[in-house]
Amino acid sequence: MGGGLWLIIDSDHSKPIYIQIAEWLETEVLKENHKEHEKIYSQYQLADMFNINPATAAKGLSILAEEGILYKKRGLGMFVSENAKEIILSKRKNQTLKRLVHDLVLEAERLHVEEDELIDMIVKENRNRKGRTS
Amino acid sequence: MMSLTEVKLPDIVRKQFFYKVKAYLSVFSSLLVVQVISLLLSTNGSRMMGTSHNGFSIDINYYTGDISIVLTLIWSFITAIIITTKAYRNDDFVFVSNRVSSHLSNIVFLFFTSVIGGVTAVLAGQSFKVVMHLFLKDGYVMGTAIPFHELILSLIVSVMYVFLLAALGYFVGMLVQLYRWFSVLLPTIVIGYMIIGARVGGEPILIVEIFKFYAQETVLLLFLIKIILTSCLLFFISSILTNKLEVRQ
Amino acid sequence: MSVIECKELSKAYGRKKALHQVSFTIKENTITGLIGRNGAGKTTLLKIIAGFIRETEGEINVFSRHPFNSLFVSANRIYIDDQMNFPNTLTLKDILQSAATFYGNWDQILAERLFDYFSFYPTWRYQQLSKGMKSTFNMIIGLSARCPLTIFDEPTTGMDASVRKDFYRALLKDYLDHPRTIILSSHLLNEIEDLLEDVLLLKDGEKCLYLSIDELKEYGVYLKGSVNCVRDIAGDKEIMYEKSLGNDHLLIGIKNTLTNLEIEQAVLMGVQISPISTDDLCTYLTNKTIGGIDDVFNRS
Repeated sequence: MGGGLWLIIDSDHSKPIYIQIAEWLETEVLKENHKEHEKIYSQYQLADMFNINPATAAKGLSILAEEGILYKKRGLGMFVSENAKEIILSKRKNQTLKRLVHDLVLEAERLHVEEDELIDMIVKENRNRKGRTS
Repeated sequence: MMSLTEVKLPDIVRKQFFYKVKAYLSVFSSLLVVQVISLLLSTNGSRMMGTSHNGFSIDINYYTGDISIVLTLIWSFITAIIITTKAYRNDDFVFVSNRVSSHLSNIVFLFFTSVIGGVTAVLAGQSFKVVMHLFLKDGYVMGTAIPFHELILSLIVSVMYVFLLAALGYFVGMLVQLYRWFSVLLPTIVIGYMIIGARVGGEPILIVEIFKFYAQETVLLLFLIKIILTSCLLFFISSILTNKLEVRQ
Repeated sequence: MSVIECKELSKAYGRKKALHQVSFTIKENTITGLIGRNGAGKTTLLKIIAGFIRETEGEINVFSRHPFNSLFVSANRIYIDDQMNFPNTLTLKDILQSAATFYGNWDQILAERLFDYFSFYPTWRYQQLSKGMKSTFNMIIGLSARCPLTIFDEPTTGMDASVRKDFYRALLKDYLDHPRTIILSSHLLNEIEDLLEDVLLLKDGEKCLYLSIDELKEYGVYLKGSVNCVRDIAGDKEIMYEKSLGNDHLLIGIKNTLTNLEIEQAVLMGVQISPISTDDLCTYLTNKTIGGIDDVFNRS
């Protein structure tokens, strides 16, 4: 395989490719590589970039369309919605972060780590990061 | 979607024919070999006569180019059988074909080979006589001059016979493709019949009658019609019988 | 529009059933992978679709016509396998020219560029080529013909890994530019899965699965952990694969029908859940036993 974009695909296959595509597009929007009301990559362009079937790419696009991050203009393709950035950030907070918290709590329960200890670990890690970055 | 193409049978037959001419080149090179062999065999002379009287003796050697046509007939028969074999039939289906177009292009191809075969056989025979004329030194050489229109006639007749043999070969070949045991049954019947015929009356009657049916026809048009009808019948039956044959298995 | 429709398609050779009551529909402009073991019936199915052989029972329509002996179907499809025997009296260049006369959508420039890229010489003859080179040449013809239905039956026989990658890439790129219906039969599902849209899995002449590639990737999961916990989570779900790891550990493969609750339970019990890769999944579904080849060596 060539380098570049192809390496972004999670090679241990635990996330479906269309979800990886959707997340990559979300990041593109957050980085403002595609601004509001601008045309986003078509399924064919994505297929070419990521070396996948265009139907899979289309699935990634339609997920974002369902969530309101993209909208479809008949015959012209998919465009970035008005509040795309806000929607993405909110989604990442509510879904992604929440899911990570859920997994964290579950794992802690499995290892019999008490709530206080868990919170301690989180606070410590947070402070560590703040310390390193300031 | 890529646009669907409508196709016409004559177009495909034409394209297949041109493909076959290029692909089956070995047929023509074998024809060349056949003609050369026939010429070499002819140098032996076909008949000899001798007589002596009062101290004189005469030896007469007959030379004829007939062997060319006989060998060409055999070549045509065998070539037609060869193109009915699996490998050659499958060749058609590499690109665009159905069984009808395959048969039609085979027929056109066999006609093409018959023309080439018949013409080269006659011309080889004639040129052989010319060559013999030049090479025979001792004695007298006598030959009959052939008027031009008879040459043309013999060309046409040769081509027709070669084509008839091709049709026969195609028919036989297709039968063998259909039923394997024909490859044993047919030669057995034919050779057996000839042996029995030879033993009983001196000639295998059926085969001689069939031969006379064509050979004794004096009207050119009727002769052409007989040959064409027989060939068409043979090809037609071959096509019908094998229309359900599977390919590329 | 559906390009291929099969209803209860069967093909028998004497008493042996090569295909048994196979039904499916393939839509236009899709890349479908045809997967199955040797002898599963893939080639038989493809040859019936291509019109070379005839079905014994059932219905088959390609472009709404019966493919056997149809000149129309023949002109709009191409079938590439490793038995393409081009005559030795033609050079490779001649063969390409001949192909061009038969196919209305033939792209000569694409053919020449691929020809040069893979280092062929125009004066070579087909029978001189190695197995891999033959497959590569066949592939060039298959792609350049741009037939509305393009069938590749194990087209990568003999190709080395880099040529295979080039083939998949070339196939995808040309498909993106000129969409058509492609069927790709292969043993190397792991290599081609990203290229596919749908997968048709055959087992012993019957249709085993017909799913989109995404559904196939999420079809099965492994459960790995201590024997009791694993069996607990699995419950009475059908097991498609089983392997014991050491004394008390077990790995099983099941269909992915776990509820969120069951997933949580699994994590709490220390059971690891991971997806089954598509090629492993197809192996398990077409295995004779759930232990697979290990059963040959487990003499207990």
